[in-house]
Amino acid sequence: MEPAISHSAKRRNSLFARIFRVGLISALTALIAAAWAQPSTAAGDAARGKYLFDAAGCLGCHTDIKNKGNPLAGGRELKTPFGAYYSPNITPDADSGIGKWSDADFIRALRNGVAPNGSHYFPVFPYPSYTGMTDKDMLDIKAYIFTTPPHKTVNKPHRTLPPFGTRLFVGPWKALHFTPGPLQPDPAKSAQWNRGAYLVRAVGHCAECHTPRNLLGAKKTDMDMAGTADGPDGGTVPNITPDRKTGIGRWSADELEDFLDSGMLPDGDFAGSDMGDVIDQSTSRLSKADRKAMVEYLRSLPAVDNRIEAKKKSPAKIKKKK
Amino acid sequence: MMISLLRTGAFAAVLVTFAAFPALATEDGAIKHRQAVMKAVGGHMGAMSAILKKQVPFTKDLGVHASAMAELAKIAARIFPEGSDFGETRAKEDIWAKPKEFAKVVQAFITESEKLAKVAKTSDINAFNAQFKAMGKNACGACHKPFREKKK
Repeated sequence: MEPAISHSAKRRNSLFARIFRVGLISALTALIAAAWAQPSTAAGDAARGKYLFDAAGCLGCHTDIKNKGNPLAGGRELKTPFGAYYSPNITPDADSGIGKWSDADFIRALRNGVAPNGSHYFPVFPYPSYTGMTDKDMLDIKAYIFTTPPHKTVNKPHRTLPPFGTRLFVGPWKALHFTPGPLQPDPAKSAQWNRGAYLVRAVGHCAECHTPRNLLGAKKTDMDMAGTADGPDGGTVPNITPDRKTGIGRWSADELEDFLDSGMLPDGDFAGSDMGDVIDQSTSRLSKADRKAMVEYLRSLPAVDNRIEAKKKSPAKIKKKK
Repeated sequence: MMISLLRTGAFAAVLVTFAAFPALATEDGAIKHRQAVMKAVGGHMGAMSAILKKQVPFTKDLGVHASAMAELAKIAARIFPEGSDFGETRAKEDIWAKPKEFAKVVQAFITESEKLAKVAKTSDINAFNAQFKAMGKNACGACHKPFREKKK
């Protein structure tokens, strides 16, 4: 038998439900937003900033560890399909570092990818991710950086391939591929999920390496976190979507948390190279709760079937005895 | 005379063959053997990890895996012969360029795995877990980071 509700009653019902739902969602949004936005302080909180600085992995890219460079003094080479980039000095040195930067300068760099002199940064600096951070978190990071020792190290020019060498190219690129603004929490999801999203998307900028890019260097949105064989410095980057065959779908939550803590993979192997550094300098320094949040978020992503295989070495590429 | 000449010639040919080919074969063999040993090491680590995460109930076997690790650690020192950085390997040249630093991490593997085998005998699962983590950090990770090339 048909339920004895008239069509209009049904409609009224659903309309009411919809209004109620919208109201509920906006109330929840307001609540979460209120919890999110801590009272802004004029000067950043350096201790809190240190934690976020680790979560954001600033040290690894801004330090030329290979050549024993000073911490945060830049010069680390990053080889990409678009050329070799050298990270700048972000120590508080007034002339060669960022010592003269105002709070607004720092926010503009991270939020909009624009330098104090108005020029665009190449998106090798992960501002397309950092843009999602709150003003407060950015300024806390700045406060911490300004407590570190200044080093006088002049920035090295990038060695880019045309047309990627010109910053003029970056403006139109940003217009097409970059949406600035803090990450908006999803009120339909738990606080832990939202914290994870914030850490994975904005601060931890995982997608910068784990999402493959198109010919213009834009992240392929339908391949989010699905890995690539053309990662930084020519390495492969694994698929970290929950696909069971080609991603991390068979990893349990505690295996993932362990990995972010110690670098151990479920098969008993241990991460080295770039992810080893990320674990050392970033994820292992986070709280257990934050690692849990990251894992919850990562496991909620859409699974993408994408097997990443090391490029077969051509005989010419195999190292030969000199 | 003729026969002795022939014999010398054959001997020389054998010598040349030995000198030319096995050199290559040995390097390739060293790499394959090394990868197999490391796989065994990883296999025991993975098995212990699954037990410690309570995915399987074989807690009693932790001792077997731990002493296997301690034995394998002694092998680890000799599976990186000079010259085995050529060919299809992710072993970095620094293994041979910085022998002192490399010896340090190999020693860490020996020390940490011996400790693990010792703790296994006490059946104190918390202490075992802690030592398992310490070994992963101070031995496995501490070596893979500086001395293993990324997958390319």
